[in-house]
Amino acid sequence: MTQFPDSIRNFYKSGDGLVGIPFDVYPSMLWYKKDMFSEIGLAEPPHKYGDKYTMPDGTVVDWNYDTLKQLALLLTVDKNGKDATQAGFDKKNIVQYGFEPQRDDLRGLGAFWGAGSLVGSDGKTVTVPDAWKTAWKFFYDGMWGPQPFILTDAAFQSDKFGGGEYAFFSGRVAMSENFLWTTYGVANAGKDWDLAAVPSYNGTTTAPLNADTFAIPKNSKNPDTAFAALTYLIGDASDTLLQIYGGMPARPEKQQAFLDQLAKSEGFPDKVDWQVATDSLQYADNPNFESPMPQYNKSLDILVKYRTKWTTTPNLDMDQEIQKLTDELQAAWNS
Amino acid sequence: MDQVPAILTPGSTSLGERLRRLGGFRWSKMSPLARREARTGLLYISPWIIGFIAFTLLPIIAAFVFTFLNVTLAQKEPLRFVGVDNYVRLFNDGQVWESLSVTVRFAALWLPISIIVPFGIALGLSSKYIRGAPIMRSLFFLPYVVPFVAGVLVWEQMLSDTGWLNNVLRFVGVQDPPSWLFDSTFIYPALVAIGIWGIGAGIVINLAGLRGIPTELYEAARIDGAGTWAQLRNVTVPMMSPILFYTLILGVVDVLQYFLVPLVLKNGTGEPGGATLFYNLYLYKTFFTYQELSYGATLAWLLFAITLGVTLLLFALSRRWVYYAGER
Repeated sequence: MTQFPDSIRNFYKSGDGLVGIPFDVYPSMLWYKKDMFSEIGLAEPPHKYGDKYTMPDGTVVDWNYDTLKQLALLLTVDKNGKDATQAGFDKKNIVQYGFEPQRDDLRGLGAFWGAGSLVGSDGKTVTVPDAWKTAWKFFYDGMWGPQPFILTDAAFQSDKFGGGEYAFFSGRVAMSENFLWTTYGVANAGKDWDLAAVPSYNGTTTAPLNADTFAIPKNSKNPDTAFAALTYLIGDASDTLLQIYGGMPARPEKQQAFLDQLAKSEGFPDKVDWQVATDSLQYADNPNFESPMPQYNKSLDILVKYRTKWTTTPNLDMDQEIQKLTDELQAAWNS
Repeated sequence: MDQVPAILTPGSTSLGERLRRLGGFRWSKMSPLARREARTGLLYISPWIIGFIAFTLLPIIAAFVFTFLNVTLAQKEPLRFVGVDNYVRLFNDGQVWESLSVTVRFAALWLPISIIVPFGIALGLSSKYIRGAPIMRSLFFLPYVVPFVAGVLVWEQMLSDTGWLNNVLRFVGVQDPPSWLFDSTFIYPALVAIGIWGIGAGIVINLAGLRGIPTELYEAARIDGAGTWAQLRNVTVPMMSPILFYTLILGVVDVLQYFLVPLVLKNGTGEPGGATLFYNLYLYKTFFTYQELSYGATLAWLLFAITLGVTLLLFALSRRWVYYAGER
């Protein structure tokens, strides 16, 4: 296990101990369209974690979600060419959006603001991390507020923005947070995208991680045989398997070769700063947002219900909605 | 003298008489020949009896027993008797009432349409002024034979943002057509549209019913000075009331079991915002996604109780408006 960096080793731990051997990982980054930034004279987002951002007026600010929002408003444009900060902005006819979060899972969306879990320290009480509440309100306000810069579900499902696929692939979204596995479709976004550091929140940066692993259950009847098979899978067979999985090797010495190969993908820009992907591993969320929780499948369904409600319904009181979500999850966990 | 059970005699008369004779079906009083014939008959129907017991009766009994246990697919806890815990949980489960509310809201929109539209189309098709009625009958029935899942997937494309419906709306000047499948305001009309497409069978049933109305009644009504509307109200509707009642009962049972369309259309997620998490879909997810077999069985029995209750109520009310010619 010493061959893996601490951030990766800790990622695969839970209260019960090590839940699996690191195999492949999918760090998250900020994907952005360089041409959209240069078109309005904006500096590109920082690639290195810890770097600051220079605003158009020359002020140097922290690279956090407040800064991202300011840029996203400038990068959200209607059919008349007005951005979301200008008077007369037509929010019913937006042709380019400034920002698209990772909206597959409310937990994942929240994790970009801070690592956490819905499960309280007692293992059975629903506790929504404060960072997640802030993230969800940011998400909702970005869709339905007076100055929208995030796609509503109607826009997300529209053909113009990808018809339900990740909107960044449509080439009409300036910035998007997502995992490395989105390389499957990012070529459709054009040849002018690049990678940047995930913004910080309250001084802390979190770049959530997705990962694949092999595990041997505690009650396995043949643990020694299973361990031999696992050793083979992550050893001799790992190169072949990694090709099939398409993930970034968890072993640091194999990562550069993987990224070099990825950079040659058809349709990708000539120069992408893949170092951002490697750097993002240091900011993996621990606990991971996909950590176990009671009534897992039912809880996922409840989260989907509220996500689809928030993306389709304006004028909601988000404090009440988050409380309702909490209560519904708690009722499910208590059953 | 050999006794051939009257129930097996060709030309037996009313059901009541047959049942009375069946009451006299005593093995000990039967002759050897009668017993041999009875055994042969039972042998012929035994596959159905075995199937019924194995795949219907026993599962029903098992499902009832499950409601008092803690059965899950993984069974991490020891199996034990939990009394009425599952029933208490059911009444405290907010999702149950929410799903029932979803089902009732959809039923309030769908049931009247599913009864009136096929009846109206059948009326039109049976009019003597309509040309090409046989072709139109076939065209109306055609969607009914299209594989169900394929039909729903086609509708998913037709109702999408760039589907033909929204393209037609944009063509006639609607700038911002609805998001039919992703807006909780419009999802039910979308589901109704998918349902109406498949009403061919209902049209055929109504057509058969209309053909069964004696023409003398219309002649008599015309002689009495009744116009088209009066004939519809005083002859057609009363004579069609048994058919309408039949489609109402089937419609109620169908809507309470509504499940496949939201499952195919939304992968069972209940999107948008829980608007398509119908009761039967929640029951399905409880069994197969959440793997809570005992609780799922409890939900199934509640569905049965509701369906039975509504059906009995409809039968009780039918005496006020369903007219069975020849039995009054």
